[in-house]
Formats: sequence, structure tokens, C-alpha cells
Amino acid sequence: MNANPPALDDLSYVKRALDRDRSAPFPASIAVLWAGICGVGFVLNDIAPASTGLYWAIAAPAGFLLSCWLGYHNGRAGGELDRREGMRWALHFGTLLLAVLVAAVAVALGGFTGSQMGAVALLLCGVVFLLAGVHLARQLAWVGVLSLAGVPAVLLLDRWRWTLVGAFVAAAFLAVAFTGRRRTRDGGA
Amino acid sequence: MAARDDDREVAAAAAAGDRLLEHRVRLAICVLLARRDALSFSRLKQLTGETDGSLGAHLKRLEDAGYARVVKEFRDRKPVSWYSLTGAGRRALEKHVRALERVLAGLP
Repeated sequence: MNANPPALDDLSYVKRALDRDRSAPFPASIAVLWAGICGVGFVLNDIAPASTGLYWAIAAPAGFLLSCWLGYHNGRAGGELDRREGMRWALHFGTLLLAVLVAAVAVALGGFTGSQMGAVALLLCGVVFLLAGVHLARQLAWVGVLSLAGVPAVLLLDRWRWTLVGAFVAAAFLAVAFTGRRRTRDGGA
Repeated sequence: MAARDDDREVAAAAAAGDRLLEHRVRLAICVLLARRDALSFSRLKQLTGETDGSLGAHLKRLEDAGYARVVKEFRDRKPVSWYSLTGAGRRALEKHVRALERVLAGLP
């Protein structure tokens, strides 16, 4: 081992390889999936609020399982296998599912109303996606920011409030998918 | 006198490093493999920026030393080689990184 500047060059080479590894884009298929799920679910809250609960009860866990499957296959296609990383993502977003389930139980027990439940779920989404942006993939922070900004909007606006917030959240997911694809095309990962 | 002692410490730390991991490509491969369960040959090529021949030669040396293992499979009728770090490879990397830290701490 040479204790001289070439050793530092070698470490710079290793760092560049690690930087390329860290810049892997978020799977576009998962972002598009959730843009669709959120787009439909939020609009449904304005046009058929009675069926929103059933929609999310099916779409959220199904979307979660489909995301796990897509994430695994995206990793394999990209040449990476990492159970620990997959588990980290699954536990992070599984926490959101669990928190929303607890909120639904609170509604059933009369803790707060069904219409308030939407704002609480949006708040939980905002926090979980913002933390995902901090700890997992930076692009997801925008989904969190727009979800959090949507909380006062759904409480204060009179008409089409969920459609408006849903459009912004879905657009944030599509932006995640688009920036990921562009980075891949540019050779980022 | 103190400077000579420092030099001696740096030289001792350098000697404690792993000879095989002194090469930057092999060091980068081991660091990348330590972060994942397995990486494919093409992904390692993307991350290191090496040619097929160079990367293949370095991986072969790591395999021969028992630091890396390879599992080959077919995906869409194309062969895919998955590389992972062995226990011996992980221990060697940890020892080498500790030696590197001592070397860098001893640099002016």
C-alpha cells in the first residue's frame, strides 16, 4: 500500500463508483403506478366519497404488494440484488399502511369523522414521503411536500379540493418517473 | 525524530493492508459488493467504468483468492453472472479499510 497521493487517487476512484451506485433512479414503473392510484383515488373523493374507503382499502395494500414486486424485478433487471435494501423500503412504506389502518380504526371508534380521515391520511403520506426523500430517494421528497401542502387545501377549499390535490400529487409521482428515466438515458445508472 | 516515528507508523499501517485490495478496481469491486447481496457483471461494469476484459480479470483474481463468488444464470436466454462478497472477502475488506484509515491519519 502506497502512503502517498496516488492512494488518494485510488480512493477518489472508489468514491466515484459509490456515487454512481447512489445515483440509481427510483423505479419509474412504481412512480407511474402510484400516480394512477392517487389520481383515481383523490378524484373519487370528490365525485363518489362513499366509495373512497373501499377503493383505498383495496388499492393501497394491492399497490404496496405490486410495488414490492416491481421493485424486486427492477433491481434484478438493473443487476442488483439486495434483500436488506428491499426490506428497508418495504418497512418504511409498510409503516404508512399500518398508520392509515390505525386511523381507519380510530374513525370506526368515533375518534374523528370519515371526512377528517382523508386529511389525516394525506398528512401521514406527507410525513412518510418526506422522510423517504430524506432517507431513501431524494426525488420522493416532492411527493411529501405536495401532500403536506394539500392538507390545508383539502380543509379550506370548497369544491374539487381532492381533485386539485390529487392532480398535484400524481404530477409529483410522474415527475419522479420522468426524472428517473431521463437520468437513466443520460447514463446515470 | 518524531517525523521518523510518524513515517514508521504509516509504513506499518500500510504493510497491514491487504495486497490484493491495493488495486483500486479490486478495492472498488469489494466496496460495492459489500453494500449489496449481489451485483451483476454488467452493473459492476457500469459502476466501475472498466472494460469487460479488465473487470473480468480483477473479478477472477478476487474469486481465486476466495474473496468473491459467482453464480451464473440465464435471463431471457442471455447469461448473467451475479457476484457477491464471501465472508473472507468481507473480513479482508474490513482489515484493509482499517489499515487505510491509519495510513490516511498518518499523512501530513
